[in-house]
Amino acid sequence: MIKDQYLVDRLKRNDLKTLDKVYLTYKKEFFLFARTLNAQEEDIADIYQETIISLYENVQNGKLKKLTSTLKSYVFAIGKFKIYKHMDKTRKLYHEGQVIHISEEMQLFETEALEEQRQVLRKSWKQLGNKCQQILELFYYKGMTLDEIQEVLQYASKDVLKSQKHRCMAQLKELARERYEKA
Amino acid sequence: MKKHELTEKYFGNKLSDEEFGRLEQLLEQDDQLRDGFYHELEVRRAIAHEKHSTLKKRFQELDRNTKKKTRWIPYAAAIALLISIGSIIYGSGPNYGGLYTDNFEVYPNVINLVTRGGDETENSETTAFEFYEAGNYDKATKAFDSLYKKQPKDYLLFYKGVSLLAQNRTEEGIRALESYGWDLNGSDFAIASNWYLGLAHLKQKEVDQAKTFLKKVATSESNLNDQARKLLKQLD
Repeated sequence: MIKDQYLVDRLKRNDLKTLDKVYLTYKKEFFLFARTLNAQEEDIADIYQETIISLYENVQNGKLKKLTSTLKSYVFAIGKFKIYKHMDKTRKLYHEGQVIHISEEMQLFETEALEEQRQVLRKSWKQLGNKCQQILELFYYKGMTLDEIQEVLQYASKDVLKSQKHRCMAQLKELARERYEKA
Repeated sequence: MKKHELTEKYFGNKLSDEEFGRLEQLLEQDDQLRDGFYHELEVRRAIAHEKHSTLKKRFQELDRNTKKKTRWIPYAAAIALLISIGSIIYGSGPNYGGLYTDNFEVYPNVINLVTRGGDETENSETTAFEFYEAGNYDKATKAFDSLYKKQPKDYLLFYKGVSLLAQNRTEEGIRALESYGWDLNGSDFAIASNWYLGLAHLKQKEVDQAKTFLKKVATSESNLNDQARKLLKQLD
């Protein structure tokens, strides 16, 4: 435990070598664990990488400061959640342990179609201009409020930023639509 | 509270349990809100996918390096062949400024993935990376510099150097990056530093120095090695 806390503290200092070490330490065992939960073999590597990235994110955003279990149980708990989330093809929302189930009619697309949609969206994202990427990333990925973004990106007002964000989302949609039509 | 304020709060992780319940209810009733909101969730997913790709590549490399190391031989032979063909084709003198702009791209932020929380130093580090990611390199330079003076972590110096280069303050950038023994200290940013030093010297038309740094990158196992080899090929 003390050693594990030491590793967490190293991660807090953004020590990427420690991250490598953690990644390699639990890898084999995680694969065995995932198989016992019937995860698809081809998904496990990706799920494990996402798990370690979540650990790193949680250390950075302060969700994990002091370990109350071993690091291994912590990692495996995240991993287990991700495996279930992955196997469960219905889309759900998560909020501090609560789950919203999306009603049946929302599942308009078969899983394959959804995966295709996601790929199109990822490609379209890369085409989006830098300025738009910045705004959307700060908002959706970093979870910053519009007020905070206005300050960092030095927008004249919140309304200007708001309409810029709208335009960016519209642009992204348009790029995705174009890709669909070509396909 | 307006419904869009609820979804905005959702993405900022600022919903109370009560507000969450309200959002849940609204999503059931309001088709338009629901469609928009699910689209936003997909956008967040796509961005996370992009943001994680650098670390994922790092892990994949780690996986490869822990497996057999013999596979590179045929690749190396193929690349050597390409280089020799390339040097015949590209006979004329290269345009260093053009090569620099073709290859220069700021290094992704692999340190500070998320905002929120933490003590004061950490928050100022977050601010520095926010400037960096927002392309505000002047402010980023100053922020990394003052942080580095308080706490000499190698990556602070590295990102300061890249921020300087991004402003075309090439000489200062070189000075910053050359002020630390990246290779000597086994830094995580050793290869990336060599890469940027190579590019920066190229821009200054200091070709021999550029080549020394680029060769280190080309023979490394980093995913920059391909780009370094191509660049060296163009320089010969």
